[in-house]
Amino acid sequence: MAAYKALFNLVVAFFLVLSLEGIARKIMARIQRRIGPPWYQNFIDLFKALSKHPFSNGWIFDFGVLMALGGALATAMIIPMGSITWTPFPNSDNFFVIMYLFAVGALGMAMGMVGSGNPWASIGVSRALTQMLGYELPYLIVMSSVIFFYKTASIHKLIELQRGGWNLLVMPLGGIVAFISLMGMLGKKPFDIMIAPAEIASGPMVELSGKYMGLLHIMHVFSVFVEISLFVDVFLGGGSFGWYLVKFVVVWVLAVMISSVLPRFRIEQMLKFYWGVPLGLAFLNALFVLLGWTL
Amino acid sequence: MALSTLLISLLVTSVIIYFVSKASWRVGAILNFLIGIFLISYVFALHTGTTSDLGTLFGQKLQLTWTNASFYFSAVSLMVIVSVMLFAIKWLDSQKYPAAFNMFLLMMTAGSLGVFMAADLVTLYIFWEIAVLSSMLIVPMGKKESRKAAVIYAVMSASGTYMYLYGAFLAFQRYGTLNISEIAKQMVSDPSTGIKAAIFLLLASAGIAKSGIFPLHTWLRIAHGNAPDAFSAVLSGQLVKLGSYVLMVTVAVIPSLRVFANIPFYSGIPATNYFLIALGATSIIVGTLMAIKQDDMKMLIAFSSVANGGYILIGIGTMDPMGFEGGVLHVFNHALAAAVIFMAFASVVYRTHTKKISELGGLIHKMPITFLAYLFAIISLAGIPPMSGFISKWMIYQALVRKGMFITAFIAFFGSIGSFLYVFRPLAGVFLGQLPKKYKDVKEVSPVMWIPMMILVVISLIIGIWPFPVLQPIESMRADFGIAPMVKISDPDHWLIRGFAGNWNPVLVFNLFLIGFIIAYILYTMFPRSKKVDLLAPHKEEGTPINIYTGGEYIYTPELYHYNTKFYAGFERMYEKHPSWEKVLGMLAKFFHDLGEWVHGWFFRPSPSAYAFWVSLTILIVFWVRW
Amino acid sequence: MISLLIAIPLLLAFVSVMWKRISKSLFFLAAIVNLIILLASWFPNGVEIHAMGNWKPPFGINLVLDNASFYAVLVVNAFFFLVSLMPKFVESYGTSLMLLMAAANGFILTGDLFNSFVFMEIMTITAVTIASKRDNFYNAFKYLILGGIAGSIYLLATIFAYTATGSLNMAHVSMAAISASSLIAITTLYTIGLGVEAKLFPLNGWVSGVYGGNDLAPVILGTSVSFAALYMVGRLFGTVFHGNGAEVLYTLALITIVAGEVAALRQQNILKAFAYSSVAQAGVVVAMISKGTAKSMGLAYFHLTNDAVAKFVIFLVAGFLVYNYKNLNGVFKKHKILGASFSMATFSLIGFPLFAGFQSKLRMIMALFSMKDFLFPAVMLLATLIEVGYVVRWNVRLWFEEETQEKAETPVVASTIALILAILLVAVFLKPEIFLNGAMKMGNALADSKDYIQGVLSVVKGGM
Repeated sequence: MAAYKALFNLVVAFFLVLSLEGIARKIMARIQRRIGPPWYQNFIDLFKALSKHPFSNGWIFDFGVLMALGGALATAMIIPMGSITWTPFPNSDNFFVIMYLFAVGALGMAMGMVGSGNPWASIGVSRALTQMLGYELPYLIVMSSVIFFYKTASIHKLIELQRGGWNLLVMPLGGIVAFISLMGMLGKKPFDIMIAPAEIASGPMVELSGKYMGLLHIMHVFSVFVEISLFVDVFLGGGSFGWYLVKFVVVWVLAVMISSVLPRFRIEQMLKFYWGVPLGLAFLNALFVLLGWTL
Repeated sequence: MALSTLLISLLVTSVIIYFVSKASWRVGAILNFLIGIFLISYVFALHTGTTSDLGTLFGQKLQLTWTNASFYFSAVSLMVIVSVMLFAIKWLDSQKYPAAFNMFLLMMTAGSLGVFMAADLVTLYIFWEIAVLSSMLIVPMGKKESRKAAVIYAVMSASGTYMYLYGAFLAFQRYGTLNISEIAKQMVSDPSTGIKAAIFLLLASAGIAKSGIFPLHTWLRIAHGNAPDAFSAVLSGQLVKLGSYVLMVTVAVIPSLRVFANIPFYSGIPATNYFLIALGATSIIVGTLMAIKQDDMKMLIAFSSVANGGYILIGIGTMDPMGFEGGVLHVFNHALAAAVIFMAFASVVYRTHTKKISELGGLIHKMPITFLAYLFAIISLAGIPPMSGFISKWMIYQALVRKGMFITAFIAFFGSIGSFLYVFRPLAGVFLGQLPKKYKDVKEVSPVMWIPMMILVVISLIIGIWPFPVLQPIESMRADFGIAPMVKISDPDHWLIRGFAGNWNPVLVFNLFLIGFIIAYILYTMFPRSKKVDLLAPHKEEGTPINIYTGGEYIYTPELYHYNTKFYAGFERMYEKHPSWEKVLGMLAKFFHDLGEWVHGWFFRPSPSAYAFWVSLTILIVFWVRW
Repeated sequence: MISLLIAIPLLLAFVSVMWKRISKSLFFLAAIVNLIILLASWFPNGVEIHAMGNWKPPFGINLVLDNASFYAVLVVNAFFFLVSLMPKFVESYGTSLMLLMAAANGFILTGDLFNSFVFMEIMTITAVTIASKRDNFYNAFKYLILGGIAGSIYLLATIFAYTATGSLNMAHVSMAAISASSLIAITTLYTIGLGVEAKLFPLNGWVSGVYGGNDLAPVILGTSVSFAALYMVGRLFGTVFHGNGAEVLYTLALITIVAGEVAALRQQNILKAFAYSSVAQAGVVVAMISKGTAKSMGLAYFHLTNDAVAKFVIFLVAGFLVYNYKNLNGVFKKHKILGASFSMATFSLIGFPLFAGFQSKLRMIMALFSMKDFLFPAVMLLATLIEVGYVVRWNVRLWFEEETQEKAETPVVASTIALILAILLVAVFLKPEIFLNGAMKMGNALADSKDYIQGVLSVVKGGM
């Protein structure tokens, strides 16, 4: 049963996020007064990329891509989708396990791309890792206070415990900080310094061609799924599968809309931003939780 | 063989090894390795509770006992040491003093084992000093800077050790015994908090100095960075763990929660423990930030050892069942990871003769096995599943979150994510990227050198998937120390590790990763085959440009198109004007020098007439004081 | 018998003036005869006295051999014997060495305050001649001046003691009731008078110059003479004045320890560095003596013995190096045995386990803690920390730095002696009783003034 659920996770993630990415392009275009591509454009792009003859920059390049995709797939398989019913592995959906398993994919991608031998990729990876240092800290503090509050790190249990009220409403500060961190995780503007196509030739992606591009796109799809699902599960109370999808879409659209009107942070600006107000709020939230001042 | 016989015969053998090695160092190294293998089998065959007398010293019985803790620490130490012994069989041919190296390495092994077995504070001190002395004599066998490193190492280590000694005798004066468990018993009923805290902190300072905890951490950079390359693996993987052991003895064997129950500070943790936790947290910050900006790869990992020492201390310091097990398990994880990393670096230096990241690059093309060893070791060091390093970090986080220690947790998270940053630097700068032309003839090291690395990597991987063989002894250790013995964390029957906030199944997680990887591989094979880009083309034929995206330029100098200097420039800029603790300690050393200069200038150098003056002044002062 | 200890070297010294050529052999003869005499009267376990001219104490001059003076004389003569084994080392100083031996023995054995002053003066003068070896005149002169001042103050103290008690006999002074104010004057003056030879701060300005000036002076002055002087500290303050004025000694000694170590830390000359180290160790010993109990004094002399053995090796090796190599970097690569002995001796100095210094240092700390003295162990450990700094620095430099010079001829006898003594240090770690028993007997004898008084004043074994 668990295996089917995990597979279902993957299927949902693939179609949901790939469509949402297309929709995002549409939304962004409309905000910028363009018409934009159709919502299924990303499916076309992906299959086009996968069907082309690619170039490989050595075995570590290939291995890195596989590790990245493998890590992202593994993480996506653990993620609960809104309730215990859609939790493939109720015994292992521990928050820290998910966060660190997620890092396998990131490390694989970073390693493969630096293995391409292109300095732009290295610069991109260095920025991506620095950005991780930025957004993860407030996020983890918020998550720690959530775990401390509910006395569990198991995601499906967190969903159950939110029956009385969404976590976003119980600790609004934490919810806001988590959302800001989510923007960084997704690499949405203003936090897309590691890609920065105009400056560093798309950074890590500089050497990607054909199926490598495609496979990493799939990896990205699963990553987005994991990141947003975590937010929805932990702060928006999950709910039935349908509700979960609705919440997922809303969070995504909100993130897209915010990002489409913002310029890009420089790397120091990004760090100073995250270690300023969001980190402060995260600690404030932790203090409130310690003192029992939750709504 | 009794424990004392073992240790003494090891010490004697080490001298014999010297003379054997004088004839043929390779035979000496092989003998060392065989002795190491014997020691491992010996250690695994011992039963806990075995005791043996070492003799009496000033009326005090010196005793060795074999406990669960001694087993755990000895096994971890021997794993590291024996790997390095195997590694050294080949590596030593690049060294100037192979015979002395063999001797002191074995002597240090004996000393370390003695520390883990010691049942009383003086026995511990004796073997501690033997380990320090012999390791201190290996350190200066490296390059030029290593001479200074040895002195700094000796002094910083001694500063901790002598504080420990003071504490030991303070305890003896008060409790009339040197036996650790006796002292622990008496401390519980001792009403005077001040003296107990003094003994506690003095004893702990030996561990603080040794495991590289702030403020006595500065020797790690210089000693680990400049020691003979393979020995850095022992220093960081094993010797530093002596410090962790002493910290564990002070925090856990002396039941600090009960002893200091009257001074709770936060969340049931006494102020004394919290002080140590604060030091550990500071070490994490210092170690991480400094590691990120190092250009010398060995110094980089040396600072990472500072940070990881902090994790161990934080974990043990909480005295929470999860935190304690996490801290102790982290000893194992960091030992293996650091040993592999330093051995990988030793292999790189063995071939390229440099340890500067900025002078290296692209070695994956030449040394793929060393690269893989390094890769898996850093996955473990950064605490990413499926390697074992994740489990201990997970446990420590559990403890911190459960106790609501958000600031410490924040620092632990910072160190963990920071570790992604710094372990990636050598990966990108040394192994990946473009190979400088001068290294085009570099070869992979011999199997004698990569086999030990691979063995440790495989052990770490297996323990990451099936951690119960290591968790079991840790759990019995925890039961020995009486830290919440009812709580069961490892549950091998259900393949689970149980935390206060949810469980996880390491086998499942590994399998998921495997499935994910297989799916990815299937996808990979489904789509068109790729053409290979030869990154080494400029090396094979003069005048070939490098074959990657260069914005349309022809580039013939691969090493210039390799990003490895100031890797995190954007982040480094933010703290480049940081205060330097090394400078502060340097000032302290300068103070003693200047004091010496002053004393010399005023009292020892002058002419006879000045001496006459000092004599009369002394007479006057003494008379004045006494009347 | 015991007067022979003084008479033989004195006599042979005069003989050697006439036959300069054989002075080395005569020195060897004197040393070995003395050693035989001592071995014959192994630990008297009581008080043996020799009253000169059969003037019964407290009237005449008498020599006293009890456990304390026996152990001191044994150690002192043993070192003289070791020096006598190395004729190359002695050169033309056989006569001076014999005089020094006679004076040191007399200084230790005498039971008379004025007589001890006389012997101290002889000791100083001969020591000065030895110090002037290798044209080290200025430093020898400094020593002479300081020694002269010290001698006169010692004499002054003796005169005060005589006026206060009407006697010069130590036993007699010891049992006399001296008024508090004169006691202060006497003990203070003795502190200063002995302080120069005992290397107490700030009276020890001569040490580095004299020890650092040639190869013979530190080997003999840093071991034998220093032992003799420190013996007298114990005898006077332990037996004769019953611990009066000990706090002054204690304070000065603690300052000495720190001052000596910091001065050693900055020193670039190896002989001078370890000269300062011996200053610091003398401070440790004096502070320990000033604690006044039998145990503390026994441990003090145990430590002093260990230190003297270690220092003998260190100065022997360092002296050889300094006068054979311009640049000391990496010289031990050429002289492995000398190097190993030197390293072992220095590690013993620090008190690393496996070496004798560990036994004495730990015992002292333990004893101090049981006396509730928490300051001295802290000072001692701080000093040891500084000591670790320079000892390791020297070892690393001598072993590991790049060598630059041609190899000098290895001194076979000196290497052998150094190695044997280094091994002895290990043996003492394994079996501390080798030195400890004697030292503890010495401590007991020094602390037990009643026994001493009784022994000297009642039992008279006259005759040569």
